[in-house]
Amino acid sequence: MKNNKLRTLLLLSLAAVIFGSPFFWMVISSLKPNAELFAWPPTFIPKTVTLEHYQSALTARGFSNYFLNSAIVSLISMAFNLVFCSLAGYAFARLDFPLKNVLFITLLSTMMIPVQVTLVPTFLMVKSFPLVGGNDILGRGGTGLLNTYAGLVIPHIMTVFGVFIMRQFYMQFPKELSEAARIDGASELGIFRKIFLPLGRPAMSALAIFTFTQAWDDFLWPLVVTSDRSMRTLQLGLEVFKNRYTADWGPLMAATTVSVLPVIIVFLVFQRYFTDTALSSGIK
Amino acid sequence: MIICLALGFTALGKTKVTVWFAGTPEALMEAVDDRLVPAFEKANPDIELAVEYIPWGELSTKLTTAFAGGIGPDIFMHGQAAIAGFAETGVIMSIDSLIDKLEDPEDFGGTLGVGLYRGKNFMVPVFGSGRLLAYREDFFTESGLDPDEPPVTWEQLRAYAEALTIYESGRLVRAGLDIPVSAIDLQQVWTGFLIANNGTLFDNDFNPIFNSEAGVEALEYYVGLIREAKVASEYGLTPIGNLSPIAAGTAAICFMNNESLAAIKEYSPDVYSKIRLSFPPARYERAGFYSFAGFMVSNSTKNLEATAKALTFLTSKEGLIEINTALGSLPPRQSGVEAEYIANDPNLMKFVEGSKYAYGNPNVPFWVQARDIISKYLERAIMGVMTPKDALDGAADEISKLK
Amino acid sequence: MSSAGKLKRRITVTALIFIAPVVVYNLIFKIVPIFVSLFLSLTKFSGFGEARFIGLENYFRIFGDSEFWRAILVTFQFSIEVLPLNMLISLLLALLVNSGLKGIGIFRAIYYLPVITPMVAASMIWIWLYDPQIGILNFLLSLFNIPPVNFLRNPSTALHSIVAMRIWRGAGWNMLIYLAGLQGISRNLYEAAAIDGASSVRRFFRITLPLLRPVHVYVLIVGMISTLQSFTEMYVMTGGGPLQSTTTVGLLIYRAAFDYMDMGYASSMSFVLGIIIMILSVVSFRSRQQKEA
Repeated sequence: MKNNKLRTLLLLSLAAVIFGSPFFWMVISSLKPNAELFAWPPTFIPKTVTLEHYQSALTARGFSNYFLNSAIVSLISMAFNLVFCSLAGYAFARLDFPLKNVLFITLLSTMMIPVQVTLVPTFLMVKSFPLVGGNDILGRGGTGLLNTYAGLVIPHIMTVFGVFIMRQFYMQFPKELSEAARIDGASELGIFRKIFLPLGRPAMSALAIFTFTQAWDDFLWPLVVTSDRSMRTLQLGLEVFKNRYTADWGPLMAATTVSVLPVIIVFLVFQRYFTDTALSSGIK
Repeated sequence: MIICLALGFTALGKTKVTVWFAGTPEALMEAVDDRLVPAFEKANPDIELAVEYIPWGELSTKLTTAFAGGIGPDIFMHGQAAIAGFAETGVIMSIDSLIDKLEDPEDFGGTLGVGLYRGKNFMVPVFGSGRLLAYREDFFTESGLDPDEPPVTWEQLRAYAEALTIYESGRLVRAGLDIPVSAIDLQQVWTGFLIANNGTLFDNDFNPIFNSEAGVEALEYYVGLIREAKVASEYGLTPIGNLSPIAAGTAAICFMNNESLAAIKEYSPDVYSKIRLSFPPARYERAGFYSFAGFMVSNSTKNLEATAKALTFLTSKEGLIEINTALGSLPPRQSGVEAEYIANDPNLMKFVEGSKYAYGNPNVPFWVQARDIISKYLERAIMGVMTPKDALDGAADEISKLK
Repeated sequence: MSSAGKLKRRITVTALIFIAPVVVYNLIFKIVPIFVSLFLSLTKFSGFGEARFIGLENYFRIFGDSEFWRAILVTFQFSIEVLPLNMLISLLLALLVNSGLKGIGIFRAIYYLPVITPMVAASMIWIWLYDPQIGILNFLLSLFNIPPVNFLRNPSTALHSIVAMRIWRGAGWNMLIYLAGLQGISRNLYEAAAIDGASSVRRFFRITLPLLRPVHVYVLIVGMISTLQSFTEMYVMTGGGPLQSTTTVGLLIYRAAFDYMDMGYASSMSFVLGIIIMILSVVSFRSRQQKEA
């Protein structure tokens, strides 16, 4: 048995090196002074450790603002998705209703048109959203949802892709599970709340992580939808360190490292639901 | 947020002029936000100057969406290569009427002509970048060459490069000459050889004429450097982050622009002192690629008078010195070379000097597409997939179809 | 109404309430823009000014555009190379980390890191990795006396090199999905099988793999959509070269829309791509549906 554990540990470590080394290289680089960053041959342990890049990154104009904005947008998106995608995913997976498959395939098809061309029309819709941002009822005159948190979250909430995950996950459970509960007289909402919501925790954790990641990493949409510097998100903030032909690699590595940390935290928080071994199907 | 609302209220009654800068370096934002904008607003209390900074790579996306939504900026910065496209589609207006409102327009010299398209001027240049020949004096000495005598002719360039190239058991350890083999860089550098050979890209009616004898000769020379003299690999050399091949020691000579040189100073300081600059070698004349980015005025600007004032201010002698000092770039104004950051930097002075050999992108309609087509075919010649003559003919052919 | 009928109605009503927010939302914010794009594909539009109606001209142009069809091949090749390996590696990773080992969470996070490492950093590191002169891979090759390979600039290896990076980048993502799926499989089933004397390998092939089928469908379809639309990696790592060997349809669309100011043409290319993706997805979806029935 010890051999097994050792072998597993070896595999885990090998994979960790393959998947983790670029990231660790990035972190190590962020601690090196400019002159050592691209030294050849490269040094794995920095000859000089410096925090100057972190200082430049964190004190860069508006950095804390961008961080906050990204956090708000990502958390809102995550919350919306957890609620609405699990409901919809459950329904598509386990409830029968007319036009179910047609509706689902229609939703799926929205994922198939590349974002480059829907960017401008979506932008126009957000700008012309009626009765907000100075718009009249026909959406003219103002800037609609531009430069607002609502505008920023639009592509990330109630995503089809979230519904898809939840649907596939809920399809894994046998029909008998729902039927037994119905025979016992439970209401539809009750079945969802008491049985499938708890069962859904692993998938919902994955959904939470994904939504947060996607919203956090989104660059194109925030670029287009914000003109107010105070509404910019972190990914846009990283651009500050890039020039036309070159980049400020030191502060860029530092800023990038800082920008990855929240996602890692969200990941670690939710991933423990993947080993909730108290899960059982309830079927005897 | 409350402060913003309050400011919003006080802004009522003021005319707002939006200006988009390309590039987001901290120094630039500091110069503009902390010094230029307050100075302008103080001198013009009835105008509010709203400045935005857009990353270079995303300029086109941001402009497209903004103009589509009717909220485009009044003034925006872009590279000169974009002028033709914007002018054709009516996005920008001609600035001819605004030129005499600028501070001392004569001071710009030839650079004001960079924005000419179909006889009208569309851009006031703001900052420039140029390419010169850069070489490692230590490698020169190693290979028995005199670092004070850089190559002056094409033949010399090839001979020097061959002497500097090092192969070890068949592996290219050091390329004698690092020249681009793909993408925009390829088109820019090769055009230098075309012009040095008395060729041009387009005639006055925008017909492609680079497949002339001069062009074919220039391409044959270029391809010959790679495929016959083998001074570089047909796959090219790539910079890693800010580590360009010449700094890593994998190349001895290259065509370098001033930004990259500045990066070497910062990231490879011990190598920086070993790099020397010289002007591109000549066939009939020397030719170095220089490009300018500048301000363009959008057609949808609501208050032309206020916009003109902003334009004049930002492109004044002082304004441009602030901007160029922040960017470390080449100033478009002749008076600009007196700025401290240039006068104290002999390498930058060399770039300024080299501008007398400058050539830029031609302002033809469909330039961006044409440029990509030229690159595509040049690459094929370099990889040996097509002969130089066929490649240039193919490119000219495809470009003619664009009209 | 019979009690069966009442039940059916109750279920239908509940379902419709559950799906309403998502459906309405996506109808407004996803479907409407798609229709607008469809309209744009029938016009000549630079993104600025007027959109001039030109009917199906853009589509006829695609028909004769050899660059487009070359890009379709490149895109398909990319997808075919990435998907199976990606699914396999993610599944293996998920199995590896599907345990209660203390600190397994750290390993899971490490495998997820490539997903969240921003492209600007990841691309620089991979470009370094692949460099023919100062890259680690070529250094390793030289130890075996193999001549250097210019991974990203040699037309024969460029696409494969990006495939490798894509697999590396996407493995953690699908790992999470498979992990969720694995957790959804009842422990009871495993215990029952263990009592019956089934070995862990048999358990895997007889119980786990079949039960994961809905998850496979997801990973396959989303993977297909994502790889067939890909353009960021190509844009950043090779710019579509060398010799257009890494020019995907996604890249062509981006260039047409934002570099060449040809929105109409970009939209029409998107629709052709979208329809291809749709056909493939429906086929995969339907075939899996039948298997489940």
